[in-house]
Amino acid sequence: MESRIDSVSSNYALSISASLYLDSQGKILGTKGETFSFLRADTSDLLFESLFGFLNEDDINSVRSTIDNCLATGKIAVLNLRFRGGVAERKTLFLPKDISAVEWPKGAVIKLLNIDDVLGEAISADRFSIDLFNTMLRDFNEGILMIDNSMMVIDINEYAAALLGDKQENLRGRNLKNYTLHNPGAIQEGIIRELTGRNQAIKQIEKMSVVLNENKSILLNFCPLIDSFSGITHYVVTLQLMTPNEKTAENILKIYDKLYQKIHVLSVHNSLSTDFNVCKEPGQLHPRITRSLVIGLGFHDTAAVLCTRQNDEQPYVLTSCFGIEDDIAREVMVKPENVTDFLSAATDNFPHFSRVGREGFSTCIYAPYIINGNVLGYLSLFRKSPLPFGREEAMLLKIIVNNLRHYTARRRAEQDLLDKVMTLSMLNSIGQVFQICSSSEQIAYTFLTSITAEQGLGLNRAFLFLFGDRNKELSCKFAIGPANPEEAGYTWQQLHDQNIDFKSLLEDFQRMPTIEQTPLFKLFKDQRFKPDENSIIQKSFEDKYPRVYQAGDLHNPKDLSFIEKFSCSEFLLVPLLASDYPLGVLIADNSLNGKPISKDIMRFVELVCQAGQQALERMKLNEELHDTIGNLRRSNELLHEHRQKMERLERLSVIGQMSASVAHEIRNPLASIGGLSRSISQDLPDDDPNKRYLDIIFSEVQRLERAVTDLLDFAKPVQINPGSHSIRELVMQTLEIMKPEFAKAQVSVSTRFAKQDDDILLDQDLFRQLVLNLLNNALAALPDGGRIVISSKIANNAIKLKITDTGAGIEKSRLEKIFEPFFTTTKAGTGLGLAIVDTIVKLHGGSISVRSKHGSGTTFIVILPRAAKN
Amino acid sequence: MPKILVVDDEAGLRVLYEKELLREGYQIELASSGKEAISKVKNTAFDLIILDIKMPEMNGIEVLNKIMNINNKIPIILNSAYASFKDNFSTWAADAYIVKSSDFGELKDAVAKVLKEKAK
Repeated sequence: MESRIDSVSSNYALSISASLYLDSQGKILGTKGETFSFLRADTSDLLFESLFGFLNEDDINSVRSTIDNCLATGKIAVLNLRFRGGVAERKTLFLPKDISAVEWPKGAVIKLLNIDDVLGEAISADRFSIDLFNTMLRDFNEGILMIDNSMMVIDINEYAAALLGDKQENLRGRNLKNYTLHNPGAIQEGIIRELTGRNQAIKQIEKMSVVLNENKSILLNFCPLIDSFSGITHYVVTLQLMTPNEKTAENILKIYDKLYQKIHVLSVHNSLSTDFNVCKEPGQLHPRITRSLVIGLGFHDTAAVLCTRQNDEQPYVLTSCFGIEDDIAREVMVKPENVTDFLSAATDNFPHFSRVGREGFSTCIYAPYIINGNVLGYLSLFRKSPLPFGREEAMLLKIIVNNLRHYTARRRAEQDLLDKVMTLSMLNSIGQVFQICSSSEQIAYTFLTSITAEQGLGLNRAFLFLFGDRNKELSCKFAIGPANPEEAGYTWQQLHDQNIDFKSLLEDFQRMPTIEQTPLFKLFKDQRFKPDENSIIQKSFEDKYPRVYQAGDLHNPKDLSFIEKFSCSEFLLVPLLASDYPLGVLIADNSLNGKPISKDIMRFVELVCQAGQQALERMKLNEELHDTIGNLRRSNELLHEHRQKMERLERLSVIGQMSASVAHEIRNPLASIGGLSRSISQDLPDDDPNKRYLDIIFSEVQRLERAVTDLLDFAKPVQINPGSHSIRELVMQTLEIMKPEFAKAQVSVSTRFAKQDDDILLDQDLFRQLVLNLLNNALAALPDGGRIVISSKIANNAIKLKITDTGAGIEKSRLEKIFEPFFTTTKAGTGLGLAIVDTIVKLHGGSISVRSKHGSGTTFIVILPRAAKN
Repeated sequence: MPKILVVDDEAGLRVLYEKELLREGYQIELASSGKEAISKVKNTAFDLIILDIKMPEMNGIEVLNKIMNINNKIPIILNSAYASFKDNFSTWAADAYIVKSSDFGELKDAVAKVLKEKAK
């Protein structure tokens, strides 16, 4: 068994259509009714039963004859059916096409229609005719009339006239408005509102209840008749006296309607709240908001527009729209010049209702989207119909905007967090690379690369200036950055192509150019810069923070001449400080792309610089340590040398002691040999040839004895007996002794003594010995005669004695050794004379030096300190 | 003629001193050791003794002390290859201290001077 129930429903009235399944006897085999989609099937069956379950034998016969008649004539048939349960009797029509679909007389599916269905079917099928209207006027026992656009009554039946309380002939040609007692004009306004608001549904029948007086209200069903040229020209209106049940039904419908709207709102909200959680990007979310709003709310003439801006200084831009073309959306959105009004209207973050008169839109509602007190956008709904939006829509907008606010705040927080993580990981990489740097060049390279690399701070150029060790002058230690924009593009593109991550870029010291190779370094090569007190560099050491300067703001001439070399308009200056002294400065700029240096970059630069200055300080300490170690090593070597010298001296001293005893042993035989030779020589007559030989023996022995004396003098530990003596006198005494020898050697001596009192505290014997040895030395240098000049000078509490000869001079290579014991340039010398001189000078706390030029004489200069006279 | 005792363990020097002092007209006695010198001083009255210091068995300073105990009126000239004994205060008792040299002049002067002193 088959049954089929169709139902047609409008939002505004309970208008039921149903189908019956009949057998050949006209007996109803089955019924199934469905009224509203929100009713459950069993409930709807019950309802249908209550409507049609009363059919008796007569009714069935009546139905059969009606159907036969209908089939024969092909005209609309009308069935009079009584509804069970005290509901008003109603005429029901059926259309022959519906029956023809079934094999009669086996059975039929009858589509039962009420008057509104008949009209609706006829109009939607373009089958409305004046004949149908006349049939309806004649056959229906319900009120029916036709009006034109201005509500002028064209024709009317008696039931309708009775309901309106006037005669048929009176009503024809009169305006229907006159019969609406309590709400004049309401009919027309209602019609226009509904019909303009629902373009898509213009062919449907519109229902409206009109209260005629306190006890009576009628339901008017407006069915528009449309001419393809001029639109709606007439309305067929059916009138039904509303029973209390129908009133209740209408109220229920109204409540339902509101419920329905709320369900829409809720479903929009529900689908959007999923979107808010799912969409990662605002670009994904924003179109969904506008789309869900328009589709979800179910209005056919509505558009949604979302506008945002980056911050409160920027203008609003269209972010997304739905139900409206982008261009039109831009036309209707709030203009920047009206934002202030808009803001003041949308107080308390509540949507604001407004009227618009552009692009066919008549009303709108918009909700501002406020973060931290700044309006960063708004969501708005536009509608073409003049019917204003309701509270539900406003609340929905408010909720969406609130969600959007939270969404944006969350995204910003996420972005901030992400940025921080990136920053930290970058800093971490930089820190790690600083750790493995083994030279200050590598540190400088890492430092500047982090500041200029695209993955780093992305500044165009960076220069590192450090103070020298001792002076307070800055010199350029490293510079990174391209010389021109082409090079910049090329370098970064290269790195980008090689897909090198930040850390490997920093670690790759093989990529590191030598400082001379970098083009920027040439700007500062061999240049020193000494900042004065008013310099921005000095100031930066005081406030210890990075600062951005405009080249145009500088006044200090030194700064100007320094910064001029960078040829940039804006630059960043960062002081680099060790724990207690300035290391230098970092200067960076965006001279190639002219991008301003943001606060974020400065903050990051500060962090990088902190790591950098620590690394530099550490490296400096390392280098100092290295120097100290070097110094210690040298000291150690020196010590070692001294120890060897000492050991040698100890050996010499042993040799000295030994030679002293040997010397004494030699002295006795020498005295015998020499003395006896002399003695024999004296005994011989002057012409004896042997006398000459004996004299030679004697003089040779004397030479030996002198050598022994020198050796003994040198070996003997010396004690000084100081006394105040005049240098001049002591020198003169010595000269006196040596006079015969000078004469013999044809050496002339001239003296030039200081005129002041030249008393000095010294051991006179030792000093005489000193002078004697120097003079002997000079004499030895003048075998063929010559000149000796002795001069003295008093200055700075010291006496300077100078002895110059005009001899052959001493070769440079030998000069260094002449004060060493046993070093001699003459055959006759023992090599101890000058060593003794040196010892004596040192015993007196003085110094001796020698100047000589091979071929032009030698000068010995002895400087002896004069003890303070007290 | 003044009588001079020369004490020295070096034979060569004894020959030289004898020869040179005889040439000056002095009477010379020679002793090759401190012991011999002391025994001669006991038996003979000398006008001057020339005494070497570094000698085996008994050195000149011991000899000097002993002679002084026997007769502290005899002038003594110490004659040594060492100049350093001058620092020993015992040598200060001698009338002169002459470092040995092939040039006999200094010693001869000292002898003449000491004898002249003694004559006073």
